[in-house]
Amino acid sequence: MPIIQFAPFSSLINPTFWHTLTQLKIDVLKLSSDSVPITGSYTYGKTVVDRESGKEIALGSNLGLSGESFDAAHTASPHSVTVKGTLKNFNTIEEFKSSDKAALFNALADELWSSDFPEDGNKFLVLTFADLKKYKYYYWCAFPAFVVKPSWEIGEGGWEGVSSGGSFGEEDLRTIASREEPNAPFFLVRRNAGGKIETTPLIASAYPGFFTDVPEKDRYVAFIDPSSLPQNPGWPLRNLLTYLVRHSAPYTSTAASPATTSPKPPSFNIISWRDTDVPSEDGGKGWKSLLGKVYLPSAPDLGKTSAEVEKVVRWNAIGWERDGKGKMSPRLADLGGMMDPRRLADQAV
Amino acid sequence: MHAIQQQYWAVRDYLAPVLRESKFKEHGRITPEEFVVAGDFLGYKFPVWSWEKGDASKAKDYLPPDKQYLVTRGVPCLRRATSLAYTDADEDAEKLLSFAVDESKDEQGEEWVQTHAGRVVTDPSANPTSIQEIPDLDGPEDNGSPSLPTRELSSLSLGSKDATPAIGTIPDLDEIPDMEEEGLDADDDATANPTPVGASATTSEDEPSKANLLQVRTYDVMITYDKFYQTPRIWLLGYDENRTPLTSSQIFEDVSADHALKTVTIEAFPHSASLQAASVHPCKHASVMKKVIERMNTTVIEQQRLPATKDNGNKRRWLFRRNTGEEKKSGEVEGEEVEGMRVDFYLVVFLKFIASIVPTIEVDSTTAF
Repeated sequence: MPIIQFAPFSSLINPTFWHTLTQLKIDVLKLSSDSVPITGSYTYGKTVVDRESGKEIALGSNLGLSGESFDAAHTASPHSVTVKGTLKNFNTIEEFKSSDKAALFNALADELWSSDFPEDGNKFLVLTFADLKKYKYYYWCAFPAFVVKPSWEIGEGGWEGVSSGGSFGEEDLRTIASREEPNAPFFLVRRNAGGKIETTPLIASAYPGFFTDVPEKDRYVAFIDPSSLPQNPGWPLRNLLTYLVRHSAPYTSTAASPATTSPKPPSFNIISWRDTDVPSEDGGKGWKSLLGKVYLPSAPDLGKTSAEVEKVVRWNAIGWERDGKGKMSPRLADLGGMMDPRRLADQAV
Repeated sequence: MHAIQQQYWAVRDYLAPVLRESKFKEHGRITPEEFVVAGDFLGYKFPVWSWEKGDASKAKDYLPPDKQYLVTRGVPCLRRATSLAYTDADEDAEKLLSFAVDESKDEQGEEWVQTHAGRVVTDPSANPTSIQEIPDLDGPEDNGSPSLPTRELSSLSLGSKDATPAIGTIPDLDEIPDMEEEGLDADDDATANPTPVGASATTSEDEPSKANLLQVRTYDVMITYDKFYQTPRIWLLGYDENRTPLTSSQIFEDVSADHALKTVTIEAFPHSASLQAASVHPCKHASVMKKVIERMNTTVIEQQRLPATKDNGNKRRWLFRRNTGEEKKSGEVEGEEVEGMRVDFYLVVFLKFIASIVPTIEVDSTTAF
């Protein structure tokens, strides 16, 4: 079966972010290079129809940072997911270059691995160097995601439209679309004994209890998908799957089955949710969300008793953002044209 | 000089009285209250739009603190406006106002909405900017004669300085001196290759030719209320396909030739302490909106007089619908009374008007419905 290839996160930094960082650097941080907690947000991947060629153009959502990222009280706009992150601003370009990026990254990955809260299952890291005189901002983002060997695979048929497989009717999908807390990044969906669809945000207390006595085919785990590519789910799914597999029986159940029987390879029905709202009846395209059966070919060793679970070595994590040329290299935002008073004056009418 | 001008605008804006009386049908201007009503409606119909608080120190007291301006992020811009075949600006202006004259047609809005964007791109080779491909991520050698940006990028990556720098299109990439790091991420076969934005979402059989790759830019679009002109005002922040902020000259590529540098300028965004953004100057908004509203109003009244039958034919029928259960908020109007276009629609109409100034930026998400 084909390996799932996850569409990496990419950052989109609003100029207001650099404005606020500049103020913060001058007024508060000064020469400190301590970590600053910030937030970012992402939303559903979109597709737009090119009016000239009639093709659908995939337009994945980026992890957006803006001036509000520094405002802890800022609430995300509707239909977007807030992600917690860490900013580390360096004073010189040399410090920026020589910093131990792997160590910073691994620290964040360790934090993710040990945190038991699925709603914090995605975090990010931003390293910055602000050249305030030239209005140039060097930055490098990382979105840690855990790598499992062998990789996650997608069942036969790949990802298919959520309405085409017959698993969900129109009414079921409307129920999901109008779920409570639409900003939760992950949520659980089950079909109860009466055939009705029920949802709940995925929080530590909800899983796997929400699925008790629900047949496997009626259990679905959904996530807000920033990708809009037809066969590539977005980056958040990686850590969601990691969470699921670590918290699924028999790995955490103390009354584990005898060690002689090897555990069943984990598999999950995943909904990649890509609909902001209910599509209008005459839209013609209908639901954009995808459904797929995701599984591991063999069960990873995650320990069978709680003591063993503690000792499991953290999976390797990856997720540095590549630059515009696809290299492992920082990016540069040159805001001279939008911030330099002299250059602004030249453009003034 | 620019600073003085900005100060002057600030003072003038401060002194201008807040419009209290509803005059949107007479003048095309709206009050702050109507701006909020229209903004609520826009956000309700099209959830991509949402209210923002902005910088608290810059909050305008005639607007609710949590509803200072409207924003939508990641608005796609698939092509450059300069690549659209502009031949006759006057003809476009005609078209802009010629909507809804033919009542027998069912899609009054259509021709008006898609004035410019409906045009076919002419011979791409005659229009080099339209086919600039996304720089090839795998390297330069796959193409006998690489196009301009590819060549520039490849020479940059080799560190040679002899290539002519791009004309304001590519930021100084060569100023990031070997910061590339090895061994940060192990190779991972479960990571999708970075797909260039603009790749077709549909898995098409035929290999997409390079000319079909689009330079998809995205824009953050803000709508503020301009107290002096008593109209909404639109602001644009753009990013290129690598998500680097656009420079002002790049933004002007997305503005129709009639308006670039005349009505679209870079100015201080009123709800931020330091942000500068491209904005469509609102000095003509009121008169244009008045004309548009007058014509739409006629249509709306006629539609409202018609018995509400076969409602499902027209996608935009909600615009003409009488107050029914769906819009409960102001649903006091009952029975046969005809009120014409309500002020709620102001911003929806406004976006259609803005779409003619920035034809390739899909600000008018309302057409998707």
